[in-house]
Formats: sequence, C-alpha cells, structure tokens
Amino acid sequence: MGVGGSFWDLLKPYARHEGAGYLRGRRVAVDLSFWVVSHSTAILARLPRARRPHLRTTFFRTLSLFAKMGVFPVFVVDGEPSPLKSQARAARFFRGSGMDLAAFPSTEAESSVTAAPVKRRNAAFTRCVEECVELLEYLGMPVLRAKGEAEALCAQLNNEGHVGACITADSDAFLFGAKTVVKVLRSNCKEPFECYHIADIESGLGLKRKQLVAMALLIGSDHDLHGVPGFGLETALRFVQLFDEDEILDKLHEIGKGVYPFLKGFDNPHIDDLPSSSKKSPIKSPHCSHCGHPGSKKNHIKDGCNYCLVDSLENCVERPAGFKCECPSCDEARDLNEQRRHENWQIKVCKRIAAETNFPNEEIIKLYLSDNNLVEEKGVPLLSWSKPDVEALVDLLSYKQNWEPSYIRQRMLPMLSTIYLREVASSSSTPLPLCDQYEFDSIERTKIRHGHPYYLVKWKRATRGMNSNMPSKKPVTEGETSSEVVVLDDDDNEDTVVCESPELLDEPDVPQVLMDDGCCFLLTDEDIQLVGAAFPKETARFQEEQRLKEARSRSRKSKTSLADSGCETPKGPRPSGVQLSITEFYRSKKGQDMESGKKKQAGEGHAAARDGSRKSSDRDLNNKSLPKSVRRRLLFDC
Amino acid sequence: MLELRLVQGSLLKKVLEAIRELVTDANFDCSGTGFSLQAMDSSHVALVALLLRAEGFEHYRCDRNLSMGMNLNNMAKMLRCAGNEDIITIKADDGSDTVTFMFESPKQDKIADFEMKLMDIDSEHLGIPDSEYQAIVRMPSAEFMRICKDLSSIGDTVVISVTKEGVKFSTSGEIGSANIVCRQNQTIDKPEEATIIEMQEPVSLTFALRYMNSFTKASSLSEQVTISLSSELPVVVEYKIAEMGYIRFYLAPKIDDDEEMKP
Repeated sequence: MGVGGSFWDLLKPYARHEGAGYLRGRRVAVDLSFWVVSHSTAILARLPRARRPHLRTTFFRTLSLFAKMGVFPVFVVDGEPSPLKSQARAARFFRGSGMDLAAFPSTEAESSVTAAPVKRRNAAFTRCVEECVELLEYLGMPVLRAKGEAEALCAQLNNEGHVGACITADSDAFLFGAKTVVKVLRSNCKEPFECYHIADIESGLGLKRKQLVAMALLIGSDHDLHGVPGFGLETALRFVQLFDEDEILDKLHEIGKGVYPFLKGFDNPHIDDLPSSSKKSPIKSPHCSHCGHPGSKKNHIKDGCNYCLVDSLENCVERPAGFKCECPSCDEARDLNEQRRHENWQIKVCKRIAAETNFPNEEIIKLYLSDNNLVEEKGVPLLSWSKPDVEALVDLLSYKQNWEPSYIRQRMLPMLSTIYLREVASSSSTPLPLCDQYEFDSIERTKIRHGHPYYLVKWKRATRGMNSNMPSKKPVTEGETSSEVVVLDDDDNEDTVVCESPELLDEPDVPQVLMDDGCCFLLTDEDIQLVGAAFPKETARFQEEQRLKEARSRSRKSKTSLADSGCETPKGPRPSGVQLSITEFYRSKKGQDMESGKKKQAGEGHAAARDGSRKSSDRDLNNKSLPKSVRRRLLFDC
Repeated sequence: MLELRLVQGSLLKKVLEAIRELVTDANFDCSGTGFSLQAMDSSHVALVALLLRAEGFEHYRCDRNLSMGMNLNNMAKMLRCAGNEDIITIKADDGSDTVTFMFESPKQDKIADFEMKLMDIDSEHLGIPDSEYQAIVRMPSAEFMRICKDLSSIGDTVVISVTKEGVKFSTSGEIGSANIVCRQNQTIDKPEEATIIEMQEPVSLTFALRYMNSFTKASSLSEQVTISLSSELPVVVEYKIAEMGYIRFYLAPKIDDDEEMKP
C-alpha cells in the first residue's frame, strides 16, 4: 500500500514506459514478498488451485528476468514489521472484519481470538517466503534480508548505487530513498514497463524525499493509517510545497508543538485585529453605485467619470454584470484578500496538525530516513550471481512441485546457456561444454519475440568427451530426448488447464530439439550482443552471410530491373510484382512491313519511269536506303 | 490522295484524348478498309489499337495505302480547335509531308483550315492473334472508371479475379486494402447499365493501375466497356466507337517476384 490517498495517481503523469531492453545488464532489487503476495492473491480466486504457486512463479519469473531480459536480480526479504505497522495491520484487519474497536479492550479472551488469524496468516506467509528463498539460493541469486520493510532495503540499495532500479508496487519506496522504481513488470509480453524516476517527480511536483515523508505523515501510510484528520492528497501536496526539503520536517515539529511559522503575532489576536481593521477603512474608498468606478454617483453627475471617459454632460456607463474594478486600490485590496485567505488556510491547517497528538511521529520519520536497513551490521555484502545448483533444484522442485526432472532441466537450459555465454565472453580460455554435453555450433537465424530480436543459437553435442561411452549411451540419450518432448507436451496441457490468466504464464520458451543427420542439436534464443561478445568470429561470419543473402537478392532484383530498363521501365517507385512487357506476348510483323515496302518501291519505280530521267536520281537515293537483300531482289525483278 | 470526312467530328477528338496520355507519337495507317492505328507506350507495357472503318465516314477516299506519322499532342491541339458539332475532314496528298484538317460548322457558315507537319516514325507493328478468352466482362464504362480511380488511391496494382460469383477488383497499399465486387446484373431496362459476365474458367490477374486509369479516359466514347481476361495473357479493355469501329487497350500482367526468380 505505501502512502495512502491515491499517491500513485499523483505520480501517474511522470511514468515512463520503457522497452524490454531497458533493464538488460543492470542490477535490480526485487521485493520478494510482493511477488509472493500478488501471485497468491491471484491464485486463491481460481480453481483448481495450483501447487505452491509462489514457488512456480518465482522460478519462472527469475528465469525470465535472468535469461530472457538479461537482468541481474537481487532478492530482498522482509524482516520483522515495526510495531507501528503491526498495529496498523491489526486496525486494518478489524476494519475489514466489521468488528467494533471499542469491543477490543473489553474482553481479553476475545482479543486473543482475533489476534490468531493475523498470526496464522503471517506464519503461512513466512513459510512461503522461506521456500522461495531456498529456491533462489539454489538458482544462484543473491538474497538479502531486511531489518524491517523490504522496500526500505531495496530503496537503500538503489540509493547507494548497488542496484539500478527497484521492482515494487509499494509507493513508499521513494520515501525510503529509491531513485528508480519499476512498478509494472511483465516478462512475457510486448507491453513496456511502467517506470518512475525520483528526478522526474522532483522537477514535476517539487517533492523530494523528505517532502514525500511529510506527505506520508499527513495523509497516512502503512504505519499510521489515518494521518492527520482533514488532510487528503491535495491539501497535503499544497502544504508540503510551501517548504524546502531541508526544513519541512523541522517545521512539522514546530507546528506540532504549537509554534506556527506564519503570523508571529498570532498569540495576541486583539492587537492584530485592531491594525487590520484600521487598515481596511482607508483602502475601501467610495465607489460610484452606478458605474462601479472610484468616486460617487453625485460627483460623476457633476464632473463626469474618468474611467467611463465621459464628461459632465453625459451619464457614466452603467456597471455590467460581474464587474471588477481595475483601480489600483481595488487591485491591492484583492491581493490583500487573497493573501489573507491563504494565511487563514495556513492557520487552519496548522491548527489541525497541532491538534494531533504525538505529531510528527519520530519513529515513523526514523523508519523512512534510515539508511541501515540490512540485518547484517557489516553493510551491504558484495553481490554475486553464482552458478545454479541444478541437482539441488531438481530435488527441490521434484519434491515440492511434482515436476519431472527432465522438465526442470529443460526449463533451466535458457539460464544455463546465458551463463555459459557470459563466461565465454568474460574469459579468453575455452570453457567446459554447456551442461557438460553441448558446444556452440552456429547461429541458425534471427528470431523476433515480443518485438525484440534474438539469435537462435544451435548447440551440438560434444562427442569428443564421450568417445568411449558413446555407443552404449546413445540409445538412452535419444530415448531421453523423445521422452522430454512428450513430457513437454503433457506439461503444456496441464499448465493451460491450471493457469488461465496470461500474466501467470511467465514461462520462457522451451528450447527446441533439432535432429539433423543423426546428430542432436539444441536451439535456444540468446541475446544478440551477448552472443556477439562470446563468439565474435561466428557472429561476424553469420552477419556476413546475412549481408551476402541480401546482396544476392538485391542483385537478382537489379537483373530484373535491367531487363525492364531495356523496355524503358516506368517512372516513379516500382510497384510490387514484376511488370511484363507487351512484346513478350505478341510478335512483331516485320515480314509484312518488308512486303509492303517492296510494293511501295515498285509503285515509285513505275512513276519514275513515267516522268523520265529526272526521277531516276530519286530512285537511286531510294535504292541506297533499302537493305541489300531487298535491293538485290528488286534488280532481279527488273 | 487521302480524303476522309467525318460528320461526327467529336469522335475523333475523344479518340485523341483517350490515347494522348499513353502514346506520344504514332503512325496512322490508311487503307481501303479504314483508318487505323497501333502503338505501344514508351515502356512497352501497354498497346493501343484503333480502328475506324471506312463505312463509318460520310466520305472516304484512299487511292493508295498511306502511313502518316503524327505527334499526338500536336494533333490533339489541332483537333481542340474544332467545335464539338463540327464536321472534320482529313486530307493528305500522296508523298506529302503535311496533313490538313478542315473543320466545318454544322451550318457551313464557318470553315477552318489547319495544316500539320507529319513525322517519319519508325514503329514496330505487333501481330495480335484472335484468342479465346477465359472470361469476358461487360460493364458500364463509367463504373469501371470509378473503380479504377477509387482503387488507385489505395494501392498501385489491381488484381482482377473472375469467378462465378462475379468479378472482383482488389488492391492493397500502405494505408490498407480495398475490394470491389461486381455481380452479374442483366435484368435492367437500360442495356447500357448491364453487367454481364461470361466465364469459361476462373481467372485472376494483376495489373498496374496507372495504365488502367489511362485506358478509362476512353469512357466518353462508349457507355459500355468489355474486359477480356485469360491467364498469362494481356488483358484487353475495349470501347466501341459508335457504329464505326473500336479502340482496344492491351496491358501485360504483373507476376510475383517469386515466380520471376525461379527460371
């Protein structure tokens, strides 16, 4: 919940929507309780119930964060809630159950009965969290334990630069010092993250950390449900914006003690009233009742009105509806009224604060501003992401979730391949094969998933290390491979039945198995830059092949256009499809042309003979223009 | 000597407006049977064939076969000087390098005399065999003009598909796609508004819309247009010219890139 009163709505205009690549390569603090709570809440309303949904969600989401999104998550576990929060939680429980608070102190037995459900839920919740912690430690993720609120430790890590962002929906992460909060995170869809930055909130609203703490004190929070009566979001915002960050909490202390920062003479109302009343009378100069301008009706009849721009011969202009006098004294009076109204509001607000007992609560302030949220006194340890303990994971998940070992290994593969590629990228020596079996073979192709491009990487089985055992183990391996496929199909069907909500399906894509000439290959989706860093030569070769393919198709198109240009291609951009030429369908009639030419020439010859010697020169000219064969034929005819 | 007298001179004006956009220069062939023209566009994608039979002229004299090369833009400028009701006479002497257009007003009270230089155009003459077409569509020419105009605002190619349901004109472009279907429609009192489809076999071909739009400039010559289609053959868009002839446009189809890549 965090800060009360629709606090997130206040921040909504400052949300930034970031793409899938935003968190890649960054460290992120994750509030583990939030995951457990949100998933359990969703799953309780659904039947049939999934088996240990918190474990399942944590497993798949961690794989997605780590392998698909390239995030380095740091998981933070809640510690003991503060006594204030326990009280607030109890009050919330009572409110929700409809019981009267007055009944609480009357019967001790009754109070013990009502306390039991809270404790029971807490115990069950704690067990869920511990199971997730065990899972995460086997996955090789760093897990930190907070003294109190997990958000507080997440925020501290963000503030101190250990992580780049916090993943939590609790709005008081900013009060604990967070700089970047990822509120909405979905790993299996195209939708962008909803991110908030304290820098945007500062520049937009003018609120910094201590001012946000003041807001929480006034409105109410997890630690004090009610806050100060009469304070909602708008009032608190308006009040807090009056002060700088450095002085806001000190001022609250002063006001709580009855020392108001405005109107120092407040304690002597009589003295104040007298000067203000004496001030008022000279300001209010007489105004004309007809036009509303300074002066009087009688004077305006005599001398005219300067504001109405009339002289004594005419009447001044009648006052329109909603008239506001613009004379300097009225402007001053209005400003003074505005200021007095503002001061009255401030006094009223301060009175409300002063009326609250034990305000501001020093304990709450200490909670929010503390930079010592870690259980261990040494400080934040060096964060490291180690290799997952696959065997321990298989044992744990087989026992708790009733999953097949092959299914678990299959789901783990994207994570293991990501770790493998990182190792190859960081070290120059050749590492051990992936899962002790597979080596990098090639990049199959580019693949687009959720709008993000990946390389589809082909892994081949390392045959050298298994020379002696290969004949005997091969049938078993192939059987196992086919059984994996079968198991995959079964589990997919089961998952579809159990979990209908798309948000719950955080599963990464299953690696495919490719059979080629009797060899067994695995296909996984990997980050393009990571593959480039791990295997630069193979990546360069793949990109060169891609370029050649494009060039080849481009040259093929250019050949087509060359053929078309012979027929004078039409102007403008080429439409889709290849345009054919009309001459490909209909043949030319050159034979007929020659025949008609011949007839023509014969006719002309006849005319030339008729006209005498002068025409013979024309005939010679005509002969020259004709082709040789025709000329020869004509001579033969003659 | 050549002397042709056409009482309905506006027909010739309309013919020129119809082909001027497509063809720049052309040879008009005059023989005993009639006045004809065959020309390709500069890209050799489209072909236009015109025939005005001798019987359609009030007076037709052609002593000897004659071929007159003309720039069609200039010829259109000449014919634009004739009124829509004028009688047009075309004269040319044997071996002359000019042609004369004479325009007479209906009442013979005004006679205009225009002389235009002829050109020497070396053009290719294509033999067009008579073909059996898989599908023949006859429809109002104004309707066809409207369809081509509407589709060209969406895409630059049109797919004409003829099935027993009717004839479909389809296009797609950056902003979306469009489909227009015309069904057979024979039960109208006015025969010029009928849509008749004769189909031996379903056929679907792709054409460039800008040529189709040029063809539809001939809509003013006839109220009906005939579209003949066969797979792997150019489409024929034909407009009759009163009782004296026709103007036919042949357009080569487009094929997919994949098909072209194969050979």
